Amino acid sequence: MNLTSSVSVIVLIAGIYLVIGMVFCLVLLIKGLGKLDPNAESTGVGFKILLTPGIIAFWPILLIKWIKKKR
Amino acid sequence: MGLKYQAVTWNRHKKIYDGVLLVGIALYLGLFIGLSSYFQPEINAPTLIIRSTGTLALLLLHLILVIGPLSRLDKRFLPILYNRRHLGVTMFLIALIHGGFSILQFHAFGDLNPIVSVIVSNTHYGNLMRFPFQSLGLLALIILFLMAASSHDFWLHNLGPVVWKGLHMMVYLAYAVIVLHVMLGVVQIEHSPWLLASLGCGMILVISVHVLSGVLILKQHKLGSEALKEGYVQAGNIDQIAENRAKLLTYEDQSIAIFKYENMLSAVNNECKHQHGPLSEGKIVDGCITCPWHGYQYIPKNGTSPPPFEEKIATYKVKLIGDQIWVDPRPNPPGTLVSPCQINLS
Repeated sequence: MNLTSSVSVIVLIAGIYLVIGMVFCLVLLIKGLGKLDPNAESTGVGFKILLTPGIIAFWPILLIKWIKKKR
Repeated sequence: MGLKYQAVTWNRHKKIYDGVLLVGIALYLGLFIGLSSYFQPEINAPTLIIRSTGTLALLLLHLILVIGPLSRLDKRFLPILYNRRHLGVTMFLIALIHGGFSILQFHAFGDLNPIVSVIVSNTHYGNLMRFPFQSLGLLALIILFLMAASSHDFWLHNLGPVVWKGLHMMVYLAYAVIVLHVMLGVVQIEHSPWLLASLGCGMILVISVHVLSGVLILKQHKLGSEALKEGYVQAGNIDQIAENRAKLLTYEDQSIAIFKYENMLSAVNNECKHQHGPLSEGKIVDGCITCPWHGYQYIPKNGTSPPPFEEKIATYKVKLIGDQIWVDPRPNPPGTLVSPCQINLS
């Protein structure tokens, strides 16, 4: 596999990671933010918008934390 | 802080800080674009945007890196340190404009995905002088994004202090990558001796203030158990502390900030509960010890944040013998009320 193909695959994987992050972000903001962190319950739209890029980037960490809290 | 999160917890100081920052940015961009258009009228608008935002982001990154050590060396720099978080996010947004326009101008109209194009359009990865500097810029932008995206307190709480701190210490990696990005860019495209000289001066400044600040910390007198007399450690002369300021005492594993205010002395643990900021480098504002990093506050006599906040830090007993301060280095449980030591020097 040449460099262009390898980089294309990595960029594609990164893209898929971010798309999953966007879906997770929607679910978390609608359903689980307050469950994940009580201080984030019923917070304003501005705060949620501010969190969005981070949730998309760090979604696996938040998902693990959310699952642990559910148990 | 035990309260519901807000997008930004505004106060007067933050509004002034952000106002000054925005005016400074507007002035820089206006001057850069105005002067460049006058002296180099052949340059097109996207190139002007790329150059002005690139140099501005680099300038702000230098400011971000030096204000911590500078504040340690001279407390007059503390106001710049106070809202560094907004400075960092602003710097990222400006770098994003720089990166976005660069990708748009050089990589958006080919057959390849623009991001793939940034990485593979120059494949001289084994040659230092011809190394693809745009890939370095992309890497730095990703690091800065991760830092900006996690700058809210929500992330400190949910990533945990160790991960969060580690992530934000990556600013030094980003800086090294950006230095290479700029140096190689100058060598390969810009050929500007001024940019290279400015970058060299900036690097010298960043390194020297970090070294000087490190030397200052090493010079601070750390006391051992031999300094203990009748349960107290001598912490120096009362005149060494300015009004509403503190002196740092380090005794074995304890780091103690002794504050002088309203003719009284109180001692608390030096570490802020928020991001472990050095409280001894802060001051008393509105009767509360105020952390120089993000303005978290504690009441001096009990180490408790004013309601409705819930943070608590350890307190210590203080006494005066003559003009000499003595501190009991055994920490009281966080939030314990300790009557302040009255200063009655005859």
